[in-house]
Amino acid sequence: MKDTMRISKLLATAVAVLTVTACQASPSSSPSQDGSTTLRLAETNEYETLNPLEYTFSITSKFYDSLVAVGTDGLEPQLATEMPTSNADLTEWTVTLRDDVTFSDGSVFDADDVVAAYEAVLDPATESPLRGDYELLTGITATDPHTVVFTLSAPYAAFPSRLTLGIPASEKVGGSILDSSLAREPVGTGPYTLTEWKQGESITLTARDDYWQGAPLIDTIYIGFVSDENARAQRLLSGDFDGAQLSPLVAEELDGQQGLEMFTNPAGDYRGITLPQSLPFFTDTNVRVALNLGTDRQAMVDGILAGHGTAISTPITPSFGDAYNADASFGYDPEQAASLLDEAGWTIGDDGIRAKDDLRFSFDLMYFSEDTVRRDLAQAFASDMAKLGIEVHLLAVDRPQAKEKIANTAFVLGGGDVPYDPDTQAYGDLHSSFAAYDPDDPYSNPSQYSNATVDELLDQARGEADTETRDADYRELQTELVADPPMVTVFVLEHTYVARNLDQYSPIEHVVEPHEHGVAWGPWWNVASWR
Amino acid sequence: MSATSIVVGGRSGRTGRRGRASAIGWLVVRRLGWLIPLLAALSLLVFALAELSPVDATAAFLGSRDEFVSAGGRANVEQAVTQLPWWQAWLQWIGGILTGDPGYSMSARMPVADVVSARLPWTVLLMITGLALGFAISIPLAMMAARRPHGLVSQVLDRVMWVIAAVPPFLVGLTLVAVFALGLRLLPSGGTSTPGMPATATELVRHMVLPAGAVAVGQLPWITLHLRKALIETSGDPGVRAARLRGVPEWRVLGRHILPGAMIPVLAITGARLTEVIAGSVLVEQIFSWPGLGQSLVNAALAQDFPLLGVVSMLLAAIALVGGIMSDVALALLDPRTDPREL
Repeated sequence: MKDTMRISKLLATAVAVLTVTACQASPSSSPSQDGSTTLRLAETNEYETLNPLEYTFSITSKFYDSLVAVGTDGLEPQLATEMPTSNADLTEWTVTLRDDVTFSDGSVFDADDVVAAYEAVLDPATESPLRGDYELLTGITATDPHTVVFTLSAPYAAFPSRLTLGIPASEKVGGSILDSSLAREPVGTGPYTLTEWKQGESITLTARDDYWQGAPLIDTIYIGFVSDENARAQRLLSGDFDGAQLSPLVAEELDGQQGLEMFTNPAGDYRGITLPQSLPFFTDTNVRVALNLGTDRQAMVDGILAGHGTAISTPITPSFGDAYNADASFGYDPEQAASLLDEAGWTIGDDGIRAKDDLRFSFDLMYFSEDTVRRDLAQAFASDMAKLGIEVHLLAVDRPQAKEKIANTAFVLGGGDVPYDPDTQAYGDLHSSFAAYDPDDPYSNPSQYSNATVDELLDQARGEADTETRDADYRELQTELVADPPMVTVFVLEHTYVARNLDQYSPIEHVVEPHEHGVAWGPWWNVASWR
Repeated sequence: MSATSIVVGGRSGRTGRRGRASAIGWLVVRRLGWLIPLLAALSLLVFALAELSPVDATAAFLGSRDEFVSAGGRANVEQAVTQLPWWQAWLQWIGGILTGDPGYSMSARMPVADVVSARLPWTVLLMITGLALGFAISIPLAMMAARRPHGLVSQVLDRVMWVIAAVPPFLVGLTLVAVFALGLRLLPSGGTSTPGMPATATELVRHMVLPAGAVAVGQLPWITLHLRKALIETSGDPGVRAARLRGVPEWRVLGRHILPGAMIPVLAITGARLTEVIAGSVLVEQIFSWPGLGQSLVNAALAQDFPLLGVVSMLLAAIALVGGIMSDVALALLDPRTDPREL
């Protein structure tokens, strides 16, 4: 069964390659664009829900605005008139709301809508997966129709990055997300409304004439669901679609064909190898340093991502600006790695594998079987480790298996779900309060890493109001993470997209993307403000 | 079931025409009577299997977000997706079916009835068109091959059909797109209408050619090979020989005497093969963004969405079973030698 799957995949790739070559031979042009203002995009999967209380940062941003939104320079105010302000100890955040905004059903946006949305997420009866993100939030109060005050149980400098929740009209909020009408009939203040949902095929979005930022130039967005990547590539080439998200290698291949152009956006979306300290090998800091030195990150970026990524050594990525510490990084130095392992007592045995006290340096590494980037990364890592005399067995798993085994098995971790503040990017992955395995929270600190200095810096930065001091805390954090690494952080991805005929629109903005992405991101992120 | 029942001896259908019709009516009633308990038992099995599968409903519900949902949110979702034990879920579900309410789909976030009414017509349309197209291509091929059973045409056809039989349906789909949509630019490559264009009948027909073609290609081998065999066997019949001796032109012999007889066993097999047509359509739907039930079935299974899984699998099973009945009825109508009471 597995073999047939592999052969099928191979054949499919062969067809795709043939197709691309065939098209090179016949450079006929794509169907002419009559300057119409319809944008046709191919999405990877059908949406299950459009309810903004279930997830942030996605297609919901076309229907809903949030208090704070992602912009080219990080977060910027959207339904707020300016960035939220806090009291001195960062436990009370005040947001002033715009007074010129209406929902798509005609009702006027005000503070009650904001309160209703955040209270709904906190209410267990809503059953929202986002509730865990608002654990510090204890109160939401409308002090007047255009002012909302958020009260927290502890100081939290990163709170604005949690104000990206899409705000639905308050009369549509209530009940469980499972049967909320918002899943299928969004009512928000955003630039588009949903005009058609062809089950299993597509959705059609129509621009609002009365959008508070001005009616969008693109008046129709058609989003087709094409889950197979080869089919997506073919339909782009055939002119059915104007753009799609594709993996780096396929995007590279299509670049320049049939008027298609590749676009890349930076992301906070990183990958790393967890080194669970429940395994005897990884309790020793020197061993973890050795594994980091023995990993050829740049080769992985070039090979697996076709160059569309950046080698990193900690979860704080270059897109964090002044909080990023370029000096805190591991070079590729297998010789030093080998001598560190020798010093630590892991010496090469007769079989070429290191061992200490009769224990062979051999461990399993899990990756999600459907994720090719993670698979390739696991293979490359295993091969680097083999050069050091360490045996890595690859283990393709599904999500339930990963959750169950993660406490005692190394894992190719994905990160960067909210990459607009170093706190949301790193706290859960590194703080010792998440070190104990919790089946309800298996992916937080999966290495069971515990370092008092790291804890102190993370907590200090979380309660620090001054941006410069905060950035300095995070730079110091990275130095400590290189001295005592929790895992092997390998690279941060750039997300790759392919599109045609975008020259006529401006501005095409490049924003930092989170882990979750799709056609709501890419060069179309700000489609509503194209002119 | 039908494959064995076609082997009937010389038992004559000497019963009168009216008697025969009522016997066929009885056959249908009998079979339909079986259909309901069979479907009920099958649905119980589907629920039990779904329960046994290692699928984690919470992880499935969250999909790629699973890795990023922290404790509070996960507890919420677990509470949302928690279900009754499978047999209680089944009792509740079957009770709902009997009272006309097939329940609410967790994975599609809408009533099961809405999912089915939006998607079932597309699957049925694709299947029927694909099968009809398969027959339209297979019949002339098989007739050509049957004229010289050991000739070159027959041998080449044999090889080609075995190769086609070995190719997975989704690859057939991708190849058709590569050739007809990309290479020749003759046909659209997916969906039911051109993105951004109004959905018209012409649009639909154009969009159906490739997916129906992909389904048809998947059915070509067994139709062609079975039909060729049946054609060869039938051409030895005394009636056919007599017709030839009478000097009836060969094309007329083929069309009037050989083909109808040869179609009988092939039609009988078609009913039994419907499950395969459905399975092929599910994959083809994926490639061509065809809005049928296939994707729903996969999603429902992965999400342990019992109500949707139950209804969709029952429907697909019912199509296959009704197909079996229809092929037996066709057999009884076409072949006077069969006795409907024995089917």
